[in-house]
Amino acid sequence: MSLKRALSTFALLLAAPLAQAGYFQWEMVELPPDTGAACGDGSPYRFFVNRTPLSKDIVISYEGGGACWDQKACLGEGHLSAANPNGIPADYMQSANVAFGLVTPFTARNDPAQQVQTQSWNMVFLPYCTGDVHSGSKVAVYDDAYPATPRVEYHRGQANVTAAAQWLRSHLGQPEKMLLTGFSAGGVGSTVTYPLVRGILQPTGNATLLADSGPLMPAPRSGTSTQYPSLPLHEKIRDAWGLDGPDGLVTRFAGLLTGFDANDLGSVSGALALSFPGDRFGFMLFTRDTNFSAFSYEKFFADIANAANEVAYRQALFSRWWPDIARWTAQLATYANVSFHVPYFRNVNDSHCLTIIDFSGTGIEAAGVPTVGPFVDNSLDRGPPMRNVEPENTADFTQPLSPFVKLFKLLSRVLG
Amino acid sequence: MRTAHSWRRWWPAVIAALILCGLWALTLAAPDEPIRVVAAPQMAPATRVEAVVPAPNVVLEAAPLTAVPSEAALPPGVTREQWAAIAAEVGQQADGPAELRRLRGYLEWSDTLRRFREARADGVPAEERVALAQSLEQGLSERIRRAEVSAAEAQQIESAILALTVADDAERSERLRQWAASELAPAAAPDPRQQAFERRQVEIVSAWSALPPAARDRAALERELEVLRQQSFAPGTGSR
Repeated sequence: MSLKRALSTFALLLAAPLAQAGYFQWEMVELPPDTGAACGDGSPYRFFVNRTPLSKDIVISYEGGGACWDQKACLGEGHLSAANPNGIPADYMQSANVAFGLVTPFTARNDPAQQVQTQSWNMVFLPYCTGDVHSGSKVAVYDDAYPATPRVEYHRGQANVTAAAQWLRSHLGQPEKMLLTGFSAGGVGSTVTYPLVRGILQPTGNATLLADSGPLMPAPRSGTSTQYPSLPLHEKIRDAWGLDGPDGLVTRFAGLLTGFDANDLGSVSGALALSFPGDRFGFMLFTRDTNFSAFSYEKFFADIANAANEVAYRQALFSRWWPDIARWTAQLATYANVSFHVPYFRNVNDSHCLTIIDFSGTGIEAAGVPTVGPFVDNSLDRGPPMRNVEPENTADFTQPLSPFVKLFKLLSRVLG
Repeated sequence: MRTAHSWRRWWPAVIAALILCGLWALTLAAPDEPIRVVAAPQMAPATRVEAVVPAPNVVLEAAPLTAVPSEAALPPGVTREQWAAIAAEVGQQADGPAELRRLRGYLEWSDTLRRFREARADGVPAEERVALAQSLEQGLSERIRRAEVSAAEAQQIESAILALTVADDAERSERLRQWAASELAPAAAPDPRQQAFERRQVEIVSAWSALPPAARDRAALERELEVLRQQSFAPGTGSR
């Protein structure tokens, strides 16, 4: 072990929570700066742990919240920007200001609406503040919008996740079952850091990934953006977030994953399945997701950015998104330990994310799957892989949603 | 010589037999299912560098069951053996009795939440769920104060409670907003370390930007910023 690595690992032991919390309490862990961990604004990275004495299983939930590769987006400006540009306050889990961003049954031990088997496990919440879908390894200086006041952006997602996993291993020990899950940017983050976290925690039981609405679409560099519309995005983030650098994720995957093609970021999902054949990998998204698709294409295709109206905008988005989904699911279906659940539409949050608020409105009725809940259980319990894509279903537009979803929508409108 | 040779030949087997006997005896004394309890996060002594290796899984032997209450007096959802293991671990702490009371209170409240959720899922009439809702509401402030529920979780619970008693969506939304304003924490004060860090960072980046483009060494800038970050946020420098 190098001296630098030994020192940073030692520093992790000092990264004790501010208050020594007991079981069933959310405790904050601030990672020391010499681990390399940081939020986008350079402030310390903080994450949250809720332990139980009744289980050795662990669920780690990655927060979502956009992405950035330019100054305005990294400052949180505009509709395609990154969350938490000013870092993660120590009271993040307890503050009214951020309450809505955190609603997912995977981080709620006492959820009045939704029961999930991982609610009895040790819970970890990894907030998102680096604009790099938890994956980056680069310090960038963005001055494209305000040249006089450049934004220094610490794209340190990979270091954050690695240091958090090392802290968990040091302080909680080796888990039995392990679930990595995340929504939106957290869906991507849980996917691409899966081999790192799995390698550090070394769970003795079933290891599972449930990535919600953060797909890595196939996009080989040998193709064109017409053939593979996610290619411009992939090229942009590889450079912006340092993915090809000496410590970058693409570079590291060469030694970690079987079957990873460094010329196609979309090959990560299949490479995970090949590298960990005993694990289960579940992917979810909505066909009519207009959020992740916007992040994927809007800044790269003029006909989307300059669409005359909402209808034209959606048509331009979906003309790329739907072929991408078709290619993605066709590839995923070739792996024995991969499942996917792609319902059509849910009338909240631009049909973006199935596992936020609760699971109402996430079913594929024609396949006999009432919500995403059975898909979650099936993945954790190792049932035969479920692979369902809901065809166009206009009934989804008027399907009843839970009171919690309705209230979320109402409050979102009232509070902006 | 023969005797000594013979002992050297057989002593490993004798010791192995003694160990096996010891293990068998332990199984007689141990409970059926030893309870595994995850190690509590603790500050490591600065001199114990060997502690950087991953923590071993901690298995707590069950405490003598005579100290454990009867089944009826156990917190809900916990077996006697589990509660004994918790009591043995938590009891070693300075505030052990108070912590055990907190855990019991939490587990009882959490069980009420479970029954409330199941009653709703089972279609139990609203008027029959009101008592559970009232019980939940009475304990919610304490759960928030003790960080046993997150703000988002608490908000979900309060909205479920209000859904039983306030029919109008807009009024319920307003009541929830008022509740959040009074019960949830306001935004934290800014971290003073961050302000000092950003001031110095601006100076460093300005000096770097003032260089001719050919002279700007991005790697050197990154190193300088990293030194600043480590100086600014090293453990012990205080936090928000």
